[in-house]
Amino acid sequence: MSVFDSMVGQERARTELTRAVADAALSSPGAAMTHAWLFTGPPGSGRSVAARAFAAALVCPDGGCGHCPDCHTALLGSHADVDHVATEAMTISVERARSLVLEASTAPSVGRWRVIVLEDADRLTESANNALLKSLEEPTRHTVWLLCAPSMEDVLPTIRSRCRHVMLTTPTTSDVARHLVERDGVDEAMAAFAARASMGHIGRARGLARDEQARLTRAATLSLPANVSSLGSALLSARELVDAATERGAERTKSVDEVERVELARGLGVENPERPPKWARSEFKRLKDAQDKRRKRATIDELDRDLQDLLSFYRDVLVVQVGGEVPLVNAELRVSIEKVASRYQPEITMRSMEAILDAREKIAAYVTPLLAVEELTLALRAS
Amino acid sequence: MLTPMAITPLTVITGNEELLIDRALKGLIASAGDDDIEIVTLSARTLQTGQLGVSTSPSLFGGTPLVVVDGVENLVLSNPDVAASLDEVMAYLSAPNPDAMVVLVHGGGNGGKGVLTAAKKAGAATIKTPTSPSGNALRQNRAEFVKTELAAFPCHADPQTIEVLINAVGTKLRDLSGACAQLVSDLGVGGLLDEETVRRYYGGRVEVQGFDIADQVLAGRIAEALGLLRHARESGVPAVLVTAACGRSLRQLALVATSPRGAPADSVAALSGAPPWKVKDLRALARDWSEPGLASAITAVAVADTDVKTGAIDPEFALERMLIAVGRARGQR
Ligand SMILES: [Zn+2]
Repeated sequence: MSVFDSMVGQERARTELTRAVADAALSSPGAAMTHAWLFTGPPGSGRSVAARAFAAALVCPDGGCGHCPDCHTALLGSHADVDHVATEAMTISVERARSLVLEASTAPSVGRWRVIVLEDADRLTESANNALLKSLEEPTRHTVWLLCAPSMEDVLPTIRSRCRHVMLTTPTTSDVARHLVERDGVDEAMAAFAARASMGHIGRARGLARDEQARLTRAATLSLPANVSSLGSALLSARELVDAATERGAERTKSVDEVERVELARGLGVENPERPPKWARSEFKRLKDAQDKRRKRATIDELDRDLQDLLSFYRDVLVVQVGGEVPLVNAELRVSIEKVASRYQPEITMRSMEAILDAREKIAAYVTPLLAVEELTLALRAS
Repeated sequence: MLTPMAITPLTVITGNEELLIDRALKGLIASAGDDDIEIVTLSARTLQTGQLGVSTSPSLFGGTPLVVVDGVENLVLSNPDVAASLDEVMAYLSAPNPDAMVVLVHGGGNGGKGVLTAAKKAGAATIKTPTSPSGNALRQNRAEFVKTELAAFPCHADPQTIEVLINAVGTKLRDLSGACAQLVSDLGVGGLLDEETVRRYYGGRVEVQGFDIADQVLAGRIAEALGLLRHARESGVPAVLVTAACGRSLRQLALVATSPRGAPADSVAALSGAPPWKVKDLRALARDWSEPGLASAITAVAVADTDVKTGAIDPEFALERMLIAVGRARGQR
């Protein structure tokens, strides 16, 4: 067993990291080890999983055995020599970056390395970036920085050039299915379905395999193409989709919102976060504004996932229309896919897919979600 | 020391509207008949051991303590963060101080049921304040609220006037209540509040202008709509409010237009989000609109919204183009 078993697929990255761990253990660390790493990969490829596993392997006396206390606490984020920074906030401030630099410079308490895992390095503000630069450039002997970001373009070139790059890729369907069976104990049929439906997004696949509500939500989204036959149904379907995503977005952010409110109250010495006194209201207002923004962002993420599911449906329609010999993402919906496929020409299906891509782009650019989805469902109805 | 007669040691107030909960609290204070009440508000999530005992003990100066505990719905057994708070509340409920007033505020949902049961056993009085519905039902709820607020003065307004008021002020109860008080007492409108007064007072509000533009263009009066647009933009109305207003008006019109002919106004209202009194007007308006026309009008609004949000083209131009496209879509067969 190894901490790297939690990585799905990613053979190349795994080999590279294993080599680094071996070199890190030498009395004078070898060339495969270095002080700054940047993990990139599309959502669901497991950037933070890989970074955490690497951190654990560095502090484990056995190179990441996966079962000793060091591995355990490192993976959980409570190891004394591993700082794990994950944020729900929009940005990572310069103050936060400075305190990380300070932590990074203190000597490790038990092992040889002090590891800072910085998820969401793409959220560093420019000044926070600059605060990190020096530590990345001239790290103390024991410091290891593990930065994660969706892609190289998401971090400043100055940071990028100081890190060794670990590129993660979207795992294959069979990698994901195998992982669900072996690591999560999901039964084979469910694992196959979840892996297929998630299109290689491991977190999403796990959610689908475990949570019936997630499967129902997805099924509801995928029933949309069959339901948008008229003006009225297109508008109602759009509203349903957006309302459901809004609700899920609010659900997702609710608990962290509450924790933040309580923490702010504690910090200000306010007894009751529900009714802050006048002098504290502007602070609470500022927090609420930031939380509203985050909730919007979460809704947008949820909607984007719905649109990806929809896209996979039309992709399947197209596969059927052109008689492609590849498996359907939504094999369980073969009947309704074939029905839609027989109704139109492939050109129209492609137009539908373009409309979905178009809507995704607009929603990501903060266009009013309901209007963007209405435009989409109206376009899907016409095709 | 005189002990007031109507003091209620334990009260549960349920609801999710701050204004209504505050009113219930004021009612409680009034019925206690004591002008010497010291109010302390606490959050159920952050109570510390013994805090309720300390807060409810009478002060040196002898005022009756009124302790409001907000957010009781957060006291769930499964959350270790609130375990201490939960214990504190339960401990207090097992032996409430008869000379103090404790009010537990429950914001709804399934959390904190254990506390409510214990409070009831300890003899708590319950005051239920209305909760706000979500989605389409909200505006209807607000229209009822405004009607009741006005009736208290007493004053009356027709549904259209109330709609204009809600468009202008928004759907927050406190804002609406304030607006009603302002219109009736400050302006001295007397027994009847008419649309013109609301418009005169709030017409400059950006939301109203957006809906006025939408009204014109849906009726096919493109030139008037463009004129209003210019005026609105000069007075600082944000472009996104114009697209939002046009989007909502068209959405309502389209859903009314496609609803079954004989469907009752109430169910059409619920489906479309239009207020029930407006359904008849929208049905009449819909006679000039075809389904393809409505679809292309909504698409034009979505396009304009994108243009405005992404800054792709000049917002003035994007909005003008939208109004012309919507107005022309009206005649489309
Ligand atoms: Zn280990």
